[in-house]
Amino acid sequence: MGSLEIKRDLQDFQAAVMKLSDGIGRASALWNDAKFTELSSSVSYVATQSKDLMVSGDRCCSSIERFDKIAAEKY
Amino acid sequence: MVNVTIDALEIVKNALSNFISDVEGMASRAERHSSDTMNACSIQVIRAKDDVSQSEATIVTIEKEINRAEEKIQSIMDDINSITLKIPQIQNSIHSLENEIENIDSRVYVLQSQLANCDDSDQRDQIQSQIDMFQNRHNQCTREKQALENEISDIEIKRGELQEQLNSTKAQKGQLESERAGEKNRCNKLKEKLERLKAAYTRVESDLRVYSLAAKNFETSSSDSAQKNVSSVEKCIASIDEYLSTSI
Repeated sequence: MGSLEIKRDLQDFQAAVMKLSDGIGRASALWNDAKFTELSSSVSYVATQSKDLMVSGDRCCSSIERFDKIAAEKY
Repeated sequence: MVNVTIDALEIVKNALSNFISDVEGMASRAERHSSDTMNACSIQVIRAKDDVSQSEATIVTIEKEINRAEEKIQSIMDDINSITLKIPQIQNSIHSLENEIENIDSRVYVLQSQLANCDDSDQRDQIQSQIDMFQNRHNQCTREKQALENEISDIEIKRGELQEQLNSTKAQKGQLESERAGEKNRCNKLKEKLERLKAAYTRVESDLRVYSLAAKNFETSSSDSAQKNVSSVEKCIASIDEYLSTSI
């Protein structure tokens, strides 16, 4: 159960970052100068940071699932 | 060179504002879910400890029953030995009585011969009296011998019953020992599971701590960055508006 909630959190994180990237991407057709390049770099950095969060979240889910598997053992 | 439209700036501003709104509260949700997960894991560790305790208690109960069975086995064996010892004593008594009966028969035989050859009535009375006395003793010995033989028969029946009880109790003890071995094996597996569970718990705790911190850092830094960008875009929009509203 714990890993499901964290997976949902991670999906929400990922969706927010993708929405932001999509929005910035839509603006690129109408904005094409050095300032937009700066903005794109800033948003790319956010996306990079989110990867670290996703990795730690996935590691959590794996740990929780390993724990649940042991807990479910019957003797 | 500048190449931007107000529409583009509005799109970017909306995207950034939506992002700030989307990530708001994510860190506290992550923290709450982490806390819920740790509580659930703690309950599982407690359950695993309880399972070990219950198994150990079961082993103690079985061992007490084994001890009771062993005591009962010893008691039955003592009873068997005790009554078995009586048999030779009784048999000796039977042999003594048989010898006495044989002796009496010989004496009676001699007296009957004497009686047959005796003409004197007084002597005949005496001889008959002796014969009667020996006959009485013969009957008494015969009754005593019968009683002793019955006693041996009763002892044999009792010994058979005790032997059955002994066999049954030994079988029961064997069954209990088998149950004890099975439960000890199960207990060892439960203990080993508990150790692995504790190690996994420590790992989950550590990973959740890292995750919660990462979520908090992400929400803070990305919101700050997005907010700065929103402010900058708003300034750009205001500049363009001013530019467009300037009369030439």
